Amino acid sequence: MKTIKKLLLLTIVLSFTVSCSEDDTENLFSQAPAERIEARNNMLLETLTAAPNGFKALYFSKNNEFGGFTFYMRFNADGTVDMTSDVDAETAIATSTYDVRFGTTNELVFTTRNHIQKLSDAFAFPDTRTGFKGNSVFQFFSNENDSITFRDVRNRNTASLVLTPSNLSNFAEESVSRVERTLVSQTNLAPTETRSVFQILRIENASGVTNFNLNYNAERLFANPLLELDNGEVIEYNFGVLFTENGINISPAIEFEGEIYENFIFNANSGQYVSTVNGTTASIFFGDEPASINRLDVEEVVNLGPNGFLYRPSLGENQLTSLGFDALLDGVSLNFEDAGLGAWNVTDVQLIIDYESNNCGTTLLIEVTREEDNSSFFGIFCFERGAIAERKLFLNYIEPIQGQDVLTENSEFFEDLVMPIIDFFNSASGLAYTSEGSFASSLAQFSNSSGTFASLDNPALRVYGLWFL
Amino acid sequence: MKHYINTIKALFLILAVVMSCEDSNNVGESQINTDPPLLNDLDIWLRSNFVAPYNIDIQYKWDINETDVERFLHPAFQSNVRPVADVLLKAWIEPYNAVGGENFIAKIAPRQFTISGGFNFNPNSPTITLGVAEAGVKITLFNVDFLDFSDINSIKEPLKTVQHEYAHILNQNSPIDPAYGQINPRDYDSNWFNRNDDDARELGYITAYASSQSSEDFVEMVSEMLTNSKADFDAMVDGIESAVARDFIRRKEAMVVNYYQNEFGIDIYKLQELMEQATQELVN
Repeated sequence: MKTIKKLLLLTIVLSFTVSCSEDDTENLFSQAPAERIEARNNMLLETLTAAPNGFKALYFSKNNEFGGFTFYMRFNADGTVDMTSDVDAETAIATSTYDVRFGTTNELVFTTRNHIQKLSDAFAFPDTRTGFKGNSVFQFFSNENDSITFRDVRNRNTASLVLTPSNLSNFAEESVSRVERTLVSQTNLAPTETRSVFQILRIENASGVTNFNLNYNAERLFANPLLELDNGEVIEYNFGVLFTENGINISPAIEFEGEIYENFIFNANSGQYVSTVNGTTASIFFGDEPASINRLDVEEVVNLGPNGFLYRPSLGENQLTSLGFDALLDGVSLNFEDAGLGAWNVTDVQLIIDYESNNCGTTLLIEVTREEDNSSFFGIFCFERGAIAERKLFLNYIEPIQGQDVLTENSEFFEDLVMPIIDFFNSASGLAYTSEGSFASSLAQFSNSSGTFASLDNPALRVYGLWFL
Repeated sequence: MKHYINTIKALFLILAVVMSCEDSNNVGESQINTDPPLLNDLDIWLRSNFVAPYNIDIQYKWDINETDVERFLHPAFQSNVRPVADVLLKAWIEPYNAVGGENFIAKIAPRQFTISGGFNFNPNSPTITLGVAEAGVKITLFNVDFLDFSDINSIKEPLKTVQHEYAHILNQNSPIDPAYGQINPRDYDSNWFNRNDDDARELGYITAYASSQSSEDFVEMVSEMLTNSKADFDAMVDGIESAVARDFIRRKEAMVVNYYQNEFGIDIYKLQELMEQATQELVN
């Protein structure tokens, strides 16, 4: 027993003696982690503050929902940053604070409010409660080829902030004029009263010409190009748009038949944005008609037409109703005024489509309201049966339905006054219909199906409404 | 003999331990950067007026971990930090210290205020969070950039939040009498936001939020008493049509008065007077 104890004691002593004798670990890094973090922070800080005229920053806050914006930033050694942007018309340079620190990794943090927080302002457009879903904290990702790339901890795969040297000779004087130019260029793709609602993405390559409906939302600076092939297959892209001084950048870039399109140059003569890659081109422009009309949308308008389509301004706004259509209604009001009737407004437009007969089953009811006493009057107008050809809807106007009841007693009197609305539905080139899911407006959301009619006679005219039973 | 053997064994062990680490390096200087941060004039003022006397940090420089990462929030304009700090100092800290003793706030207070510039919308709810208190040590104030510091009603907004949250902190130090929650428990409702303040008062709750549960009821009473003059508070209560509801609220008021007096030796009506005076001075 004593021998066992001695052996045990000897073993313990030996184990202590030799346990740390091989203390030669290999150092993968010459510095400790804290030192390396500090060095990386210092490197980033020095890079940011070394540019006397700052950086141009392109920021996509969430490129699967929104477009991006341009900022000019000058980082000062005292912890302040001067900034301007093209997010809105308030372009004056503002000064706030920033910090380079270690969070989940080395981070650039805009610690007090400046232009960049316009994208994280939950009270701002385009979505109240979330804004553009931006951030104030950016993770340092790389510094290569004069580009410093950051990512957003929240929108990790969809956000990017890329800083490149501003190349300005005077930050204070030139940065604001630069963003004001890109701010103006945002209007190149924005709707106006006279612009077509049919925006097209066209790609031309050795295979031929392929047109997509761009489906661009100017408030979000976001596009959802769609193409329905003859076999029913749908090719779809989603990208945000950022306006540069000479064109647009899209994010994510689109890849079509092996070529990648990301940067588009604006051609002022044609009004087109063009990206040329290896002899192929992608262009974005306003077309006279849609790139394609969806087969399922046509089926919907056939099925729902007899139920009735309603456009009622009091239900709220939706940007799918074009500025051109708003102007058309204003024109109707002007007709009443010019006729010496005072101030009137169109308050209801209802279309019922009968595809079977020409016995005035297809009718357009228009309600107009006199502002003076808020009294409403009606007119009903008769069309031939609805016809579908080449996926377009054709309605041929016949005459007003004049009767003795409250809905028809003024039809003939109103006819000339409301003719712009009748003409819209009477489009000789047809109407393009799109299905838009459940009804949603600035004031209401209903489960009713909704859709748009756009005139092919005048592609600036489109109205959004709901289907009722 | 046995004694010597044990001593030798012990020496061997000590020797082994000492020798086993003979190649270790000495502990050097810290590798962590402990340099003081850059301080601007506002930082220095905050250190002088909040950190040094009260050990309260006014954190206005954005740290994403101080708020909910999933909410779309942002820092405040730096120009709005000093005004909101002045509101805290003049209309909250100084009156409490005047009636509770000069170290009252230093002893019982949140150790940090986080300032957020934007609105904190609650997902899947029609409500906005105005402030958050965490574990009695931190209060976060939201929508600071939307306050008008020349409008008394506007600056009472963060004050209501602070009074509300601070009352929670006081309750964590000295619990309220459970009898408070038995005054009119019937209409406490987690869907309180379906009521407006007037509706809630007719049920015997000073605000709609007070009708959510008894602990919120108590601190809402404190908040309303300390952000209104006595005359305004009385007018609010006297304007309630239901005599039963008025009685409920007066009984709650009496319990709040007793709580402050018995637990902290504070005359809440004196505190109310000082706070109203300070708030008026902030906008005049």
